[in-house]
Amino acid sequence: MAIWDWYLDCVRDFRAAGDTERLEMAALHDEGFALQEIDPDSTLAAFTAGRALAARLDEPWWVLFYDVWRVIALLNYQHDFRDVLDLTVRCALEVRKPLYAGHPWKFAAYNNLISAYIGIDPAGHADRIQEALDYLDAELPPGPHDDRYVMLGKKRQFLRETGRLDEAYRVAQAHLGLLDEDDEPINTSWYAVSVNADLCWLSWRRGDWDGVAGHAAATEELTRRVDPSQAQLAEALLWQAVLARRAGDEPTARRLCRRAAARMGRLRTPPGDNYFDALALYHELGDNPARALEVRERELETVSGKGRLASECEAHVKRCRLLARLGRLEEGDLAAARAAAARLRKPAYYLVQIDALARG
Amino acid sequence: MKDKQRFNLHLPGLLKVLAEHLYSTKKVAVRELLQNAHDSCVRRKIEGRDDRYRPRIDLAIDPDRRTLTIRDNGCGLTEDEITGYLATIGRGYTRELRERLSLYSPEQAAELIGQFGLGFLSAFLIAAEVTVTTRSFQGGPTLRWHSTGDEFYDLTPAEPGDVGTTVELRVKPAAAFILQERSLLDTVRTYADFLPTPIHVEGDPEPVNLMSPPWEAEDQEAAARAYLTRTGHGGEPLFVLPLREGKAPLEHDTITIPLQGFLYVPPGSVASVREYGDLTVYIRRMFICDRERDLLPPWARFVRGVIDCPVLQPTASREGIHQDENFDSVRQVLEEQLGQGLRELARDDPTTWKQLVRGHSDVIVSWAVKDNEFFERVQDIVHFRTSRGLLSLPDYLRQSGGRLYYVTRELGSLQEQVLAEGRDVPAIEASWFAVTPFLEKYAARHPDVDLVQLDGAAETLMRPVAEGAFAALLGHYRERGVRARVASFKPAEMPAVMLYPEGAEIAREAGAALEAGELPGPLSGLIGEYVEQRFGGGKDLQGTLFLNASCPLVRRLAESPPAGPGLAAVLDLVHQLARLFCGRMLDAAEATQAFKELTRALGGLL
Repeated sequence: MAIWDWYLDCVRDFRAAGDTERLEMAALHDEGFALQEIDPDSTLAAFTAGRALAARLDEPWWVLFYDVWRVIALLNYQHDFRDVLDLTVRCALEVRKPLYAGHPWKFAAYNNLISAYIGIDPAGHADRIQEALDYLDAELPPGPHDDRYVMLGKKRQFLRETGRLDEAYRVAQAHLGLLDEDDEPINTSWYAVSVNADLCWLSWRRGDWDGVAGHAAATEELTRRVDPSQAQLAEALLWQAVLARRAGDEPTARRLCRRAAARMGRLRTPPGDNYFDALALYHELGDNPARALEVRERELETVSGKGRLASECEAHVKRCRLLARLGRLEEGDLAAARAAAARLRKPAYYLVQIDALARG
Repeated sequence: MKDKQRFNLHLPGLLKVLAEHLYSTKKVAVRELLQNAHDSCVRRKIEGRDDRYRPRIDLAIDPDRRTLTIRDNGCGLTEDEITGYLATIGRGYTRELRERLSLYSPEQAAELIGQFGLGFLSAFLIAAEVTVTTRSFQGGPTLRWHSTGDEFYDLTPAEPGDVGTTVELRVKPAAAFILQERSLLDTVRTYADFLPTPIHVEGDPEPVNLMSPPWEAEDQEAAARAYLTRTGHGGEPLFVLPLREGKAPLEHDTITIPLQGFLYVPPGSVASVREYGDLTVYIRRMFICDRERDLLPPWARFVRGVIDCPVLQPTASREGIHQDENFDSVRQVLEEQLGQGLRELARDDPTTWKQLVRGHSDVIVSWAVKDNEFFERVQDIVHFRTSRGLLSLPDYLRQSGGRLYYVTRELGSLQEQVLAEGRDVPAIEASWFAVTPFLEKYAARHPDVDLVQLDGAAETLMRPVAEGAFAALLGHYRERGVRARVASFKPAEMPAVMLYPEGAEIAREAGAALEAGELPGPLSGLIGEYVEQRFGGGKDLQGTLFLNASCPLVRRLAESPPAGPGLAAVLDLVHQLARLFCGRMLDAAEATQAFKELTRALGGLL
């Protein structure tokens, strides 16, 4: 049974029984979900309240449901990986118990475990992550399905984070193909938003500007149908601003950049890598490395101390690169980047870049 | 084939779209018709130039005939106007009149509400048939317009009547709830409480709507409080802040934002997680929505309000607001006025300010973590749940000697709390997700304050003691493979406690699951890495038994141990009691085994 079929069946039963407490328990999911972008703290609070209510009502499946959502809130909405492993592992351990046989959230708990390690140190845990992804790929039902979509998203992210951009691109395209087979329009739009948003970034890294344009337009169009997806809309607008600036259409570029910033400014969920990369690129194309540096410093501030070890190191390296370009790179900056790299299991990839910057 | 061709409109299809997708509730039909009636009265006032004119709207229901009738004594319609406006979708006379008036009489323009020329169609949300009888103030015959919501309508002469318009709806069975007087009254009050045109229901000589919003009263605060009481918005608010027009920056300029209404803080949080800073929004006195959550700043979730702002743009359904540049400007003005209002409250009325912060601690704590200025204002006022009830941090620190002791476990922190109380300090209950970051921030800003997390670190509540006098006792445990130490702690009646590293239970379960092969092989790799990283592969999971050197029993055992097997029995008893009291790292089999050993030890004493 798919998770939403289970959820809706439960809600129907609660309603038929006039069970207002359990209806309240279920409703907390919707409330939290709706706030994921504008107030992720409240999302986590709502899921935590849902869990507490589930525990009080002796509903172990709902306890697990909310624990999985709490992990999702920490990983995806708060981008806070500091203590997420304890809860993630607890969920992965819970689902093995006979009590949860048939619980539709089983694979989501596994997807979260993979997602946490990708967010913390993807290269450092690469072998284990790859094994786990291969396992899920083999175990999940073939064809369109929520868990498969999430797994494909994790696979794309893992390939991207470990520098295998062509493979990531192919996985993203295959994901779009699978979504095309899905006859559930909400699924199609919901997952297609993030795939297209990532394809903007991947297309840029592949030098495919037509691809950037196409996927940015697709993202923007999809975000009008899917809520909440304002962060992806901001990214799409930024990519369009980049394209306009490349084409020499400065008024349009500025207008789109303003819209993107205003859109993102309304959200309390932190901007992701795509957003910072597009915004830094926008300023670099405008021959304004000082503004690009501000973006990188904001990015560093956003990811620092959140347990996102690889992202933090990456942000240091990007910042150092811009400082070098501005002739302001100092030993302290390099030392901070090296310290960030030292916290990774396999820091060589970054250390090579830091050493190259140090040599000038 | 011609190049340009005209769209065809399929009215029943459009009505279905409106009914199923544009509006979220059928009650909006009443709102739209009341607003049309009001605009009609305003138009007659403006264009009729008759000082004796007194606008009025009347509603009547006839449950037997299943009809709802809305009558106004406004301007009425001529035959041309019926054709040009009433029967033309998307074109409204009100909008055109407002555009004309906005040039030379903006005040009168502001009285008009209609915008899209769609409102009348909503009548078909609740009606199977609509009959409009109208006579224009400009003269001409009384006309009768009739439609069943298909592509056609009838327009015929009617018996002469008074100037104005009567709309009679033959209500669909699915919307028959509107024919109950209570439901109709609630609907009118929700949507049209502040419309300046009096609305009478079922011939009642008293209008059912307030007509004048509280912010137009001389004493705005008192009127706001009376309004909140009348509308049942919770208890007496702690604080009411009347709003005024404000300035907002726009590009390189500033614009004036006309703003009326008030913000208020309810007496306390019922369930903090459910507070979202809800605003009730009116545009030109017409109700738009009552759960607008993006206009107030995120830190102000404990605040609510009622506002009227004509620069906000309603969506086509007029049940929401477009988040455009005006929206951002209104948000800025609200944030500025609220910030200033709260600063003044803190300065001028510290008692109320403290009540406010205490009443909404959970919400305030979570935002203060993110906002430094806000943190400064509330850090010493918010209350936390502790083992001695609710305490502010200054009060807590006075009792704890300058340290903040806290536990994050939702359940099972009794041992830590007992140890804390043994040291005569309360423990702060920090399971609410924002409490720990708040305490961390507090400690970072007060270098003299230490922060001690008791989960997995209760050792900090103990005083180290030399092993010398207790070596024999410790040796007994070590021979049995039990990691044991001695320390001095309170309460002195407690002979020993068992402490485990934080997170040990998950790691132990993970280790056991891995060993038993209960996890899918490829995923066990990641879980194995977790155990390895967190607990050195599981080696550090073993708990430590701390004998209490302050406990008279333990001291007696150390100084004059009983002869024979009595000592071993008592020490085993102490060990098993500590394990059971700790309540962690025990499965059912282990707990059973602990009881067995405890019983055996007791038996040995007999």
